[in-house]
This record gives sequence, structure tokens and C-alpha cells, in this order.
Amino acid sequence: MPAGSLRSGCEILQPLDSSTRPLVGRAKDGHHHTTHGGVLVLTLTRSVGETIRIGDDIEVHVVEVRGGTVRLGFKAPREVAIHREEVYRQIAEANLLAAQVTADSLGALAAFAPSSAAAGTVDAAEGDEAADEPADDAPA
Amino acid sequence: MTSSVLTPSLAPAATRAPKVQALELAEPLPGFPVHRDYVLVPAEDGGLIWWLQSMAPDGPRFLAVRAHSFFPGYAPALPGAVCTELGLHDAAEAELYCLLTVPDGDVASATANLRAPVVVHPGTSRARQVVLLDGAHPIRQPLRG
Repeated sequence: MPAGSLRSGCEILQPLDSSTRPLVGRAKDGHHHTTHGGVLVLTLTRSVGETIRIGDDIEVHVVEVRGGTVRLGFKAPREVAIHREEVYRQIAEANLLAAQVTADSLGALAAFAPSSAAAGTVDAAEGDEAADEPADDAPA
Repeated sequence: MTSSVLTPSLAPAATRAPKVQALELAEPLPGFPVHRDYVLVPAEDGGLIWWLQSMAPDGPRFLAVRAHSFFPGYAPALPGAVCTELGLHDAAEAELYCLLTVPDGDVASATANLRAPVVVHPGTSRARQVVLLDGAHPIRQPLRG
């Protein structure tokens, strides 16, 4: 399928509103549109081994489908950041919390800076979501 | 403000940043999509904590720490695309700031976001918050070891 036909009728593809889920239907011809938060969303049906191309240089491969889980492979230029949506949402939430800060705590916060003897605190720390879901970065 | 920005014993090598630095974000901070222009202003005399303040009158402001001041072992791998975008020849040139969260004003439970540092090109005003691919860096790292 030529890339141009994928975009037809799809005016804006924006990050989806995190509070709702898109209404994704299944079409026999694998190609229709849904609206999501006022944004038109192109919906395609693909099978394992098939590919979606976005623009000239982004490919999304359907690697595996098992139960309700889909493994996708991405080929994209290095400057294109690819993240799970939930990670981005977590960062946005963390930023919103961080913006509630006041100046009251400044002195006490500065006192937490480690002395030179206390280096290496990060090395011992384990991420709150560390590696529980490693990137499926096998080439498609 | 006339004193030296950094406490030598804590950050001997990083004396390049001016006291107030304007930042132009290549991408807005997640959660604050309309703000790209910020300033970094020292929040206290020690050069340890900074305000990351939107230049918009109603914009957000954050407290941030120089990553190496509080987390000396922190050396995340920056995507090459970020270095390209910010004009960094070497990822080691970048200055990393981590945003602080102080839940309910409780300083003892303050955390720093190591998963998404604000990466600053020290020689220009270019910066962006980078969501690291490596999930080993926590979003909420306690500031108090």
C-alpha cells in the first residue's frame, strides 16, 4: 500500500488524550477512521509480518500477536524518539507534581547534597520501574 | 549575587554555567506543552539548587538540581539524536538537571527525576527534557540517600 493512501483523510494525528481510550474497530478492508477526543484517528488492520509505513522513513512491523498482546518492531531515523505512551504519561505526571514546589524547602533540600564521602548513591538505587519491561528491540 | 556559583568541594569541574541562563527548549516539557522559554536561576547560594522558571507570566516553575552535585554516579546514556538536536559534539558536554518533587512540602521525602533529566547545552540556550530509554533510572529517586 503506498504511503500516501495511509494518510488520506487523516488530518491530524496527535498524542491521544490519556483519559480515554480510542474506539478502535475492525474493518474487513483494514482501513477506516475513528474519532478520538475530536481527533480523527486512522485505524488499520494488519497481520503478523506486515508493515505500516509512516512518511518516508518510518516502518512499523507487526512481529507477533499473542492473546491481547502485540509486539511491534520499529525502523525509524535516530532522531525519532519512540516510547511507550505510559512512560511519557508518567513523566508528564511527575512534571506536574514537580511544578507544585514552593521556595520554603530550599535550605533543607540543599543540605541533602552528598558530601564527597557519600558518592555513589545512584549506583545502589533500583528504578521504580526498572527493567520490568525491557525493550523488545529485536530487529523485525 | 556576587558569590561563586558552585561550592568547589562538591562540583570542582563545573563552573561554566552563568548564574542566570535562558533556555530554549527544543520540545516542551511533557505536561506543559505550551511553554518553551525558561530561565535557570540559582535558588540558593550554594549553586546546588536552581529554579527552572518559565518566562511566561503564568508559566510553571520547578526546582532542579545539577545531577552531578547530588548524584555523582549518574551518567545516563543520552540518545545520539538528542546530542544532534542540541548541537552537542559529545554527550559529556551536556549539563544535566533533575527536577525535584517535594510531596506536600515534606522535604524529607523529596525526590529527583533521574529518568527524564533536562539536558542543557552549556554554550547555547538549547535544552530539552530527555526521557531516557533506560528504565533503570528512577522517576522518583529520593534526594536524601
